[in-house]
Amino acid sequence: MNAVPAPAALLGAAGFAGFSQALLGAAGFAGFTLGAWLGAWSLWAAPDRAARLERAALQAIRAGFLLLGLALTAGAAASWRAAGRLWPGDPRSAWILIAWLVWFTVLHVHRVKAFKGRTATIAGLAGWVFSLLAFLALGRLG
Amino acid sequence: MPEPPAPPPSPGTPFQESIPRQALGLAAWIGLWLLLEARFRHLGLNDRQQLAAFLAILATAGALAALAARAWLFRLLTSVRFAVTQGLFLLGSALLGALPRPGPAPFRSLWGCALLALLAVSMLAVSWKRRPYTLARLGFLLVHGAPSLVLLGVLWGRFDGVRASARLTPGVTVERLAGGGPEVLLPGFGLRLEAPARPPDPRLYAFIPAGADPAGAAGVREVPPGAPTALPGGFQAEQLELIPDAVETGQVMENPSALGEPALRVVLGLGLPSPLVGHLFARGGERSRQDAPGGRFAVVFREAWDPALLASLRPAPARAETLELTAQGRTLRHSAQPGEPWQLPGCTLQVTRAYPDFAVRPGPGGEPEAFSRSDSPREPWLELELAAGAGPPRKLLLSARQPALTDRLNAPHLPAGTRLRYLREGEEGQRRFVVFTRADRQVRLLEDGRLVRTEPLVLRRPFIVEPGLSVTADAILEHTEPVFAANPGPGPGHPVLRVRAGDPRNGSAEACWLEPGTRERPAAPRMLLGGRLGLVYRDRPAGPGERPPDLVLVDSQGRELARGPLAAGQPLEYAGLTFHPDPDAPWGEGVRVVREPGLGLMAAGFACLLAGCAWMFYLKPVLKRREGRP
Repeated sequence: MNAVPAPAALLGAAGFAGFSQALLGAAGFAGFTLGAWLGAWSLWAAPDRAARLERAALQAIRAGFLLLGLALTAGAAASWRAAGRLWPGDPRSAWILIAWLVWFTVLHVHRVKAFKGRTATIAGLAGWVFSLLAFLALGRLG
Repeated sequence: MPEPPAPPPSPGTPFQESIPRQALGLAAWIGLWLLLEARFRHLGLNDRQQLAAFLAILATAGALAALAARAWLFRLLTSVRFAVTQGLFLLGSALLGALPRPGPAPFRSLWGCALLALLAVSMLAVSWKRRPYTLARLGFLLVHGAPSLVLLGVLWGRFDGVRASARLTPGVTVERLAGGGPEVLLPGFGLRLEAPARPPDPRLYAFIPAGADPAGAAGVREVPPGAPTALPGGFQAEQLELIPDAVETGQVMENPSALGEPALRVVLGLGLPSPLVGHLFARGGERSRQDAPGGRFAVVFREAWDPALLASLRPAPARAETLELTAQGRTLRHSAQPGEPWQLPGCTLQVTRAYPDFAVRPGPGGEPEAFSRSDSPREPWLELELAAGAGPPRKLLLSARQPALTDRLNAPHLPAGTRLRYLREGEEGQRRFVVFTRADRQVRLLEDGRLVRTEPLVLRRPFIVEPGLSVTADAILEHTEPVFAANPGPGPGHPVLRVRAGDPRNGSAEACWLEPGTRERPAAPRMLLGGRLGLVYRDRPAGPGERPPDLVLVDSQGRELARGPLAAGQPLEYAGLTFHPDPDAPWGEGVRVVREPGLGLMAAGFACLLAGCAWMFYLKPVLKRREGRP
């Protein structure tokens, strides 16, 4: 049997958990966006203000990371309930996982002594651009 | 308590500080497991054997590495740069998983498990390095212990999990399911779909197989009655003629544009007052065989000669004789031995007489009288009495060899939609077969499982079985199409639809009949235009607000064990298995059977990860301030 798309009835069956996934995913990415842009600002700011901006950026990224983790869990719960699968396999969930792993890497980059400061901030910006490109590419796939 | 690892050597080795080198090392690690996984598949190892080999190799490699370079390995595993490299590789795996590709999801594959195992060991090593543990570090420990829990859950699911699916046709019990590897047999029960009682409303769906649509817009589209419907890829499809209550006349017509299977038209009983003309289908199961009048031999048509036919086309006794009653989507079975009454709700069935070789002759008063010509089971029939209420019992006749005739004979005595059959499982009463084969155009005579004679298949030349007994191949129809007519009798409607599909770009078009499917022949999608377009005729699936079909679990006796709607978000649970609608099955007629024993561990892993992150990000600074640390 050739693969065909899932019936619309199943696609729309994510329920509350699926709605939560979308909401948490959007909030998580908002955190990343804020973190990335605060980081970008810190690159041109005076040294004392740059340190404060970097700390604020890290807090925003951490909040985004936690929210995206919750979004992943909500997606897995919705998929398990709807179709007995832990991994939904839809573009939205794939993008959330990719963004989450990007920021997992970025958070660890912040912990490498040699990368702290400017390098970590640039890594954060690159991660944000990568997440955005992944979002656009997966939107086309879906 | 094991000894703490030796302190790392100063200065750091290049590998532990170089992300590109670590990336190369991880690529080699994944490549090794890809090769091993291919090798395991080549050796025919099942999931459990593959997992055992995986764990054995992993444990051996870990032990050897720890013995040879314990300090070097510990330094690598606890390096933050190595965590960054692993993060990048996990990201790559997620990207790979997001792309449409064959094979299991990365986290279920052995290479994915190997990557996860390395991450789990790294995290445990980092946790070990951070001793002594304080309350402030609880979050750190939770986060770094989480991958181990997830890994254990994945491995347990791979070892003892079930992930299988099946397509369901209403009323047909399914006991075997297709999994990633061999078929999965349900433990002592079967699955059946019971569609809710509503007027039949079959619909025509068209789909383009993956890869055949240049615009990449493959998908299922409904083709409504009326004008031709434009489909993705430039194709068209239309409904031509609907017979709402059809009966197959048993005839076929040659239609070069039809994709029906090849058939052989044979004439039996040449020289008799009424010779029999019939069609045999090369891939038609029961429809590939016809017993000659008088039962002295049988004719079989096959696509190609297979020596295994010698073993199957030979006399064999019945393993069991049963009565099978199908009503309202349920199937019940009972012994077919005389003298064993079958108590059913509101009636009793009892076999009163068995005829091994049934025939009819004029009785003393001129009325037809049934008798058995011999004791050999050439034409086994049963006579039954159906007692219901206060009226006299009604007589039923069941033929084991001619189920369709049985249905017609008994239809006036049974409630509408009820069917009674006489099954002789595994029996073969015929000892002589004439086998026509299409590929090599040969005719073979088989007697008692031995090949007696082979001749070329020549149309319209009788093949002599023995003097006075012959069969003549009249024509080979390469493209057949059944001929339907409106059903004049009572009974459930059997709609058939004549459809046409075309490609206006090159002017090609094909027409065929489609059926929504029966118990004997569940409808499969019909591929047209050289396999570029598929059409299927199915009852409309339940829409929003309508009651979905019920999934019923039945034991071997047909007794209901569990029942629940087959709907997304309403899984049915039984015997440790969970039953969901299969989102990959078109028309919502598939079921997905899952057992995920590692689910709790995986959920615990994720919970630890999230709780640990929250602790590290928000509670740890508070606790540190209380401890008076910066």
